[in-house]
Amino acid sequence: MELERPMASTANSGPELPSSTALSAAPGLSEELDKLWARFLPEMCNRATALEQAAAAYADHALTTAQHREAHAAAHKLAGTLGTFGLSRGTELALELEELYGQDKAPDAAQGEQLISLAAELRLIIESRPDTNPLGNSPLRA
Amino acid sequence: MSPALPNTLVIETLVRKNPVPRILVIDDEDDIREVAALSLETIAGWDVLTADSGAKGVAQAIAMQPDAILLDVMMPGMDGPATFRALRNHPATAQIPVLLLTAKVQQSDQLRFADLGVDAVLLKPFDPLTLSAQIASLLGWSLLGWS
Repeated sequence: MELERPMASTANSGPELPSSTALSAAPGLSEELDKLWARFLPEMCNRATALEQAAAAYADHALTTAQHREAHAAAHKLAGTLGTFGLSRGTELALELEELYGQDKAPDAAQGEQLISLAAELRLIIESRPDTNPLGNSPLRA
Repeated sequence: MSPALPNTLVIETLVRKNPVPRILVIDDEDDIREVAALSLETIAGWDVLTADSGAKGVAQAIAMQPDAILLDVMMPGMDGPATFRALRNHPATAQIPVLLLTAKVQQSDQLRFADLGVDAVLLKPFDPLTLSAQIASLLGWSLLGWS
């Protein structure tokens, strides 16, 4: 006997922050998430660095294929991760960067500026997330 | 002819292979794997297995018989769709529900995933507080009596 399989349904919590009402049901989760954030922060920063370097190279018309690929992958990974740690704006920026690096078009000065600006804001968001402050902006806090 | 069972009874009978739901998370990104595992274990008390590649995930699924699999789409080597096909082609894993985990779903992706026959698609970033509820809802699980 087999369960009838419906066509793939999609659920998206999206970049919305989780509600704080459930915090009481999971008192240890926010602390554990903060520990994970602290552990993975160097990796997040490396991805931000890849995006900053690619943006600078793009603006100088010196973006290599490898750099382009690395920036696209870094943006994709940050897009999928940051919102899970409560950084919904970070996910939005990363999605925008992923989109821009996914385009196949000739470099232009305006886009170079945009890439630099997005990467800079992304860096700020990543580095400003508290990982130990109990009143910080963890996704599990109001 | 036997009378039709209510859907919830059928589902519980079919999916309750393990004392608590056992989920296999296949994702090459360490942070996503760990947050998903933390969420499902802490919030829901589920049993979580992880694999960092499609090939390892298929081997784990065959050996450990999870009740559902969370499968990342973009992975180096064997990607999500290829892993899904391998799972469906193996008799030990062919019936295990699979949820694709992806950061972005465009219309072309939706069609591709529907053609693959996956059970559901879950978008990243997910909410650690509600991940288990989303999985249960997408798969039509009734968890009464499972815990």
